[in-house]
Amino acid sequence: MKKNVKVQMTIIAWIVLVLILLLWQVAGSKGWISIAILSSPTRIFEKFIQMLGDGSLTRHVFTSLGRVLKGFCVGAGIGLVLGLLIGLSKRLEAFSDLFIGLLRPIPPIAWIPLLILCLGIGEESKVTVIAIGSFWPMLLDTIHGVKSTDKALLELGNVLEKKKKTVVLKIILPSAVPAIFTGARQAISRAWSCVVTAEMIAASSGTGYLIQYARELSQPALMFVGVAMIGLVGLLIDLIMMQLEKRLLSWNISN
Amino acid sequence: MEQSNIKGKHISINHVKKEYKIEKDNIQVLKDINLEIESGDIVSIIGGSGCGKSTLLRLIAGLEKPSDGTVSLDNVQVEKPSLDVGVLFQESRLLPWESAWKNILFGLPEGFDKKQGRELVDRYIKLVGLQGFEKALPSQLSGGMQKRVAIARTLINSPHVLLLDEPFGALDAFTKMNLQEEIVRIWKEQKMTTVLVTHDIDEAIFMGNKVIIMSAKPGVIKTVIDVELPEPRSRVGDDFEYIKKKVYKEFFGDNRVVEDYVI
Repeated sequence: MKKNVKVQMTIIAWIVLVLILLLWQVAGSKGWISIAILSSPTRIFEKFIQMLGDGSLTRHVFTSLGRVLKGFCVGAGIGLVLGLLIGLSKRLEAFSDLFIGLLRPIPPIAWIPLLILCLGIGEESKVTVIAIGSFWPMLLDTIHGVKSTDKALLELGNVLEKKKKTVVLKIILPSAVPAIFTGARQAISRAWSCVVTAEMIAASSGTGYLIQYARELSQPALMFVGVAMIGLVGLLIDLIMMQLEKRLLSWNISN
Repeated sequence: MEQSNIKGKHISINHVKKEYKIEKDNIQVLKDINLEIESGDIVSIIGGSGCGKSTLLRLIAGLEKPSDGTVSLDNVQVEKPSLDVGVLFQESRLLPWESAWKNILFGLPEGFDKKQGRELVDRYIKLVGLQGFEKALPSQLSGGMQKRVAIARTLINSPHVLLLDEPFGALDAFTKMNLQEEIVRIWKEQKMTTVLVTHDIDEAIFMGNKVIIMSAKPGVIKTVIDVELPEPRSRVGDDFEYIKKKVYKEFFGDNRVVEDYVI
């Protein structure tokens, strides 16, 4: 796609977004839809400004982000290490196949009741759910990255009489970095969606709690502020990760 | 160059057979290959695809083991790859995340003295004419320049044997001729025993002192044609054409030559 075409399409997307918001506003004021349930863009915006002013919005968002960061570090960290080991060892791979096959289909949320029983409804259970959510993409992409090292480069290591350690550090790991990065990007966005779920089930602060609380109080504007924040923060995280990837992986033209 | 006193190793291939097992069938790739390549010589191996010429090269490199028979260098049997045997592959096989300079450095043995290594890399950058491109990543270099990096990485260990596996196949005609001339120039200086595997008849004749012709199913050596040309070689002389005709004849037999006259 040409660059100016991309810019054009981005502009059109923004226009469509604004049109949807306008339509929503008009539909509310004409009484086509119920403001009591679906609120309206201006009301949501007012609420947003008010919450920004009293600091409650940033408090909730940062609480969630803190949990995401902790859970991501633990989950993605373990996923990275295990992924490297499994990717490098055929034996370990054959051994872990069963466990990966069995555990991977379980959605992180399914663990929440068990985690609450084991760890209580404190921070630990929420961070653990997030860790589980970010563990899987990191694990699988790391294994994939290590295993898809170019055979020709491995043979080169052989021809140049490199030690196993050098082959791992200089050939296999750098080849795996793009896949590891893809894993990290997925892991962090998964972590972000897990935090919201975890907070909706058991929390007294955070973005997920905000939405749940708004439903209990029947405050749609507040609810929409929460929902919109999830989208905005998710987008922001992805943009940051993409910039990081561009900087770190300039050699990888496919990106 | 101080390496000018390198003496190539004698390559000796005795009754080499190579079979692959594909499902239940044994595919015979090479059948009873016998070949002596004199120390310091430069020879070309040519043949259609599937004649086992690359397999033969991989056996000399120690990347594969013969099913039967032996490959030895100066009477020592080849068991595994060695830095003394430089291999230049068809693809340049550069590390895409490292600069040209670092890629060449990667060619040096483990634990090589750092300061000496740096000097050596600088020298080989000059040898292959890559000054000014030290910091460039492989993706920023043309195919020909990537090949130069690979050549420097292979030669930096001053190998006694140089194996070229269709090294210029993917390059344009001019770059190809340039690099052929450079390899011949370096060979004349260093006299490492050089084996070129190619499907390009002109390249085989221009570079080799002998052209070894192989045929397929199973892979055997069909003929060896001596290339006696005045140095420096010219690609357009009558004597070059004469040898070329001889090679064509071996490839296509007399039938093909007669057919040409029928038109």
